[in-house]
Amino acid sequence: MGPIIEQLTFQSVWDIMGAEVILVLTGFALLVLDLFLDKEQKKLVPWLGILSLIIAGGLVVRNMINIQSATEIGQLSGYLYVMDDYGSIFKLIFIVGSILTLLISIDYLNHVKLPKSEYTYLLLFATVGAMVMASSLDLITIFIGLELLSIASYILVGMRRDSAKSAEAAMKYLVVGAVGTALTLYGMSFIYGLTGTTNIAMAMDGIAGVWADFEFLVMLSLVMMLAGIGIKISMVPFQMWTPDTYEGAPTPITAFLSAVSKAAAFAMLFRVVLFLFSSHINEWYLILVVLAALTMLVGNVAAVTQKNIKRLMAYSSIAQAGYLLVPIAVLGKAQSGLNVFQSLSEIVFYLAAYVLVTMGAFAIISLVTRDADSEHIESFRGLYQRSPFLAISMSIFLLSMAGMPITAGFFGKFLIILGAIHNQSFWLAGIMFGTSVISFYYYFGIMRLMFKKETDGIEPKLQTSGTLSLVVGIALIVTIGLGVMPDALMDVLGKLAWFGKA
Amino acid sequence: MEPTIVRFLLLAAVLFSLGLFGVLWKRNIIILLVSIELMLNAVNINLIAFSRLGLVPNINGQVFALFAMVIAASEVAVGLAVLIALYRNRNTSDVKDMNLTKW
Amino acid sequence: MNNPLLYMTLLPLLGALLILFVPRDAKSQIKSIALAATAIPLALAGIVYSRFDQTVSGMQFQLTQDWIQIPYAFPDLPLRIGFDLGVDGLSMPFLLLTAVVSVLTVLASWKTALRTKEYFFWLLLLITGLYGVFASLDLFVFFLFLELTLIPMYFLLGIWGGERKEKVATKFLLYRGLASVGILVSFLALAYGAGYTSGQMSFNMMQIADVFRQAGEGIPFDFKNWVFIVLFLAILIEEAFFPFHTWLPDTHEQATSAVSMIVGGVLMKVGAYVLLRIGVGVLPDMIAYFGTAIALIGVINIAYGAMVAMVQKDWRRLLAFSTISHMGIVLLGVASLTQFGLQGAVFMTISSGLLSALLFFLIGAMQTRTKTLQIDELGGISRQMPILSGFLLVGALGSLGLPGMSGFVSEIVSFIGAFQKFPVLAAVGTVGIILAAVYMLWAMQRTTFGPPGMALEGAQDVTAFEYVPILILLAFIILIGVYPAVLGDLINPTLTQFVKIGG
Repeated sequence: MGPIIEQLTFQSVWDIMGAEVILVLTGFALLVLDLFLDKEQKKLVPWLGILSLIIAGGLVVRNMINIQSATEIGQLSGYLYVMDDYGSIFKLIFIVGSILTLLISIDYLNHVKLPKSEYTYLLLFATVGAMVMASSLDLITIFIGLELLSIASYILVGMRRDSAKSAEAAMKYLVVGAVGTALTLYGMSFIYGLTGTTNIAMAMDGIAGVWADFEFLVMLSLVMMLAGIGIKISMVPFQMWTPDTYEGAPTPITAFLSAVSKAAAFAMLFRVVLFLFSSHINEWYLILVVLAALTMLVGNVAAVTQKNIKRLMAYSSIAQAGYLLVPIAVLGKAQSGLNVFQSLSEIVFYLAAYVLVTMGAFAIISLVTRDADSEHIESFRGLYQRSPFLAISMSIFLLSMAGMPITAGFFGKFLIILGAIHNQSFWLAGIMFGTSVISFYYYFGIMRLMFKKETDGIEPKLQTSGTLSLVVGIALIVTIGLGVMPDALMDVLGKLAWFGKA
Repeated sequence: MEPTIVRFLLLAAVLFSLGLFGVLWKRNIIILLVSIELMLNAVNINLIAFSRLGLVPNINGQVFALFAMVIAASEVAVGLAVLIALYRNRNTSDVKDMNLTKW
Repeated sequence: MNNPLLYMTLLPLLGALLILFVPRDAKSQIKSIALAATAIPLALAGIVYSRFDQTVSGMQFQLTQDWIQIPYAFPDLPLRIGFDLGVDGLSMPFLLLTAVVSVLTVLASWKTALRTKEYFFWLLLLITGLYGVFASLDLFVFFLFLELTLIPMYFLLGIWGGERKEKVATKFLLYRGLASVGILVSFLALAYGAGYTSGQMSFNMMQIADVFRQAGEGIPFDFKNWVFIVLFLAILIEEAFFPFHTWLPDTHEQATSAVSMIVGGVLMKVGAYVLLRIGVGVLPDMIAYFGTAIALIGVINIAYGAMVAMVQKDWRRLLAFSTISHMGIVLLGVASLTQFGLQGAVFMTISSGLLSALLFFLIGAMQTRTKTLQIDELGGISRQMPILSGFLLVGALGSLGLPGMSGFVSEIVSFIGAFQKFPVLAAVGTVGIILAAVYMLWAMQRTTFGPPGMALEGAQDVTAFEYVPILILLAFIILIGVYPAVLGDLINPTLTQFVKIGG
């Protein structure tokens, strides 16, 4: 243990996890500042959060540039925490997602009375948790990250103390999430027991060695961890909390859960699957194939009957999780390491598109549902008459989720299909297609409502606030930009040294 | 593995299953939280047993167990806080009354 | 980038975007933009046609523009997606058809009062999609444009449609969405098949066709077999062949007549184009292998369409089933894989497109006067509107294959090709032609003669404005009927190439 402690200097921590440090420090600073600020000053707190996130984003980009010229990846405490492009690109996604969440929240907090400082620093801590999940190479650290994200999210979901719905949503999320934690932890304990290490890379070799002797325990551990992570990404059959929690949570938090929290779980899932269980993936990938297929089917079919917009988006997000599972599931038939990189680029591209689209859509949902004081999808009726900009933007976001051309979602889906066919998983590609067609039904249903003229009376124009317009604008530019010039992101992904240059 | 560790693993498995059973079947939220504690502590037994009697015994398992305890404690603390909020609003701690959103 | 095809494809899109910035009430400006955005491409199509070298078979007016490089999708080399455009003897008539029908559709929509701005926005978007489908050489770009047609169609049906518009719009979306799924799967499989054979992957259809041609037996039979089955099923849905046809009559019944013009005239011909371009162009051995089955499906559709058309009570549904019957002839022609058969298939597709556009326009003109298209409720319109019923009769005669009009040539050539390979099936198929005469003339008789069913007092006959589309479409129909070489010379070099590969 001696040399490991020597490595931990302030300088090395700053170099490797500067972004996380900034966010944690800001979080604690806000915690203290909260005591001294008066009501007017507290309005600035979310902006402080955004500022810290932007700085953190800059540091991540700095890391990504540094690693291009570095000979080996940066690491802390004997590969407890690493700085590779895999983690960095996910971190960028989380940071962008959190910035947009905060922007939506600024508008939301102006109308709903919630403690602004607590809200902001909990969101920052949740983001740090997500970042730790993407970057740590150790079961303990990954677990801490997961819990940091989860516990902060439980509180955020239940923040509306006057709302029974919010508390109920938090309770359901907490119980299911805690069971997920226990399952994950139970799975991790076997990994440790069989290999004697908590380092994921070292455990990978160990697992490959003991697979033959202790297949039952390894599979048990795999299933437990899949179930635990599955709860976080709302994978069928662990999806039942999703619609309830999404419905009860404050709208910006719903967006956060469906975008950032899910992306973080995917970062963890890929790292865990790839490192721990990849040696025998062709023996168990069918589990993932079946789960991915079920998730796509259940999410899309259940969404068809939904009348509450947030529940509908919840089922839609379940379906999207199903699409995102496809690139991992097809790795069972991978022939070379290049297939892994292909799957990674697919996931990152799709997640980037998905996070932005989700944020844009929820910004609009937040405004429309508040204005109508109802979350029924009928509140979208005649939106085009009331605000053409919002209606057209929402249509483009929905088209992107449905995977229609000239949107980022189309290209993301296309990439995933391409990967599935490349790995000869024709059935999975077929199911993905078929369920996408089902999804047309409900996405286009909302679009049609928005363009309907017949509203119940003369509706006033819908006023957007500056921050919401900003979110919608950013999401719109990226969604269409990536749809027309996907090369912009594909180039970057092609140049990444995912797990170092080895 | 040697027979001694199997006993520990079995104990942990039984506790874990009991906890899971409790979460799935019990109605009262406090019992639910206790069941979750049971599951998390079953894992701790696992970790410590492995730390002493595993294939490669070392200290890491105990470190892991310490972290797990801290997390379990904070999780339950948040759980109780949410329960209080729920109780204030609804005057109930029964799962079957949690029906504002469709389960 | 100085390529007329590019401008043809993007001008309607530009027009659509321009319309977004015009105030909602400036209807005449909106319409002028729409007209310009379709008329200029028509002129460009004319220029392309006049400079088109009809003696060679390859692609002309090619545009090759790298667009996206996808790393890791294929060993070693990144996968190239290019914004490649081009036109050959096969796509030229389809482009011309799109150009003509799109301008006329804009003219036919001139009186649209309901939400004019949005209507023309969606219409122009649809037209861009159609141009792109026929002009693109890259399978990815092709698919992109094909999907692009779905969105505007959904709204054109869902907002401006009839009383069952919402259900029908959704039905349209789901059916065609499913069809594009099959098309994309088969495209990807083709691209990977060609990629693994040649060691370099691309979505360019010409390259893929080359690889498949050179590899011949080198590509596993089973693979081609499955790809073709998927592709063919998708085409069956896309073209509304029995038993996947139910969306087409519903769509035509609910759509406005202008939208029906472009659906029946162009959108419904995309499937036939895919069949010819990919089916015959890349997988001719599969067409030969499944020849009898395809011909059988063709004959079933000829007969089914004709028989169901007879019992229809609504003109629009009748025309929809008559289209299904006509497209059955296309299948029959393609299945024969002879020069005549393929030529007939192209002729039939183009002819059916022109006739559908004409008939739907006439039906629409009739509807504005009679307020109904139920055949039972119509009657005696020849007394009030002799010219309109005259044109309707001409259109009906063209549709049932009167010599001197395009339908006749198409049917004759197709059946000559089909008789060479499938004499029995072709003989059964000719029954469909007889049935066509029965249902068309019967419907005509009930509509134009007999006691006036509807209050028609003061109904105006064809207006000067309506003469334009009618006469233009009729001119093309008769031109092809009297002088088939105008179309034949255009497509023959390309089709000869196809037959050489397939034979």
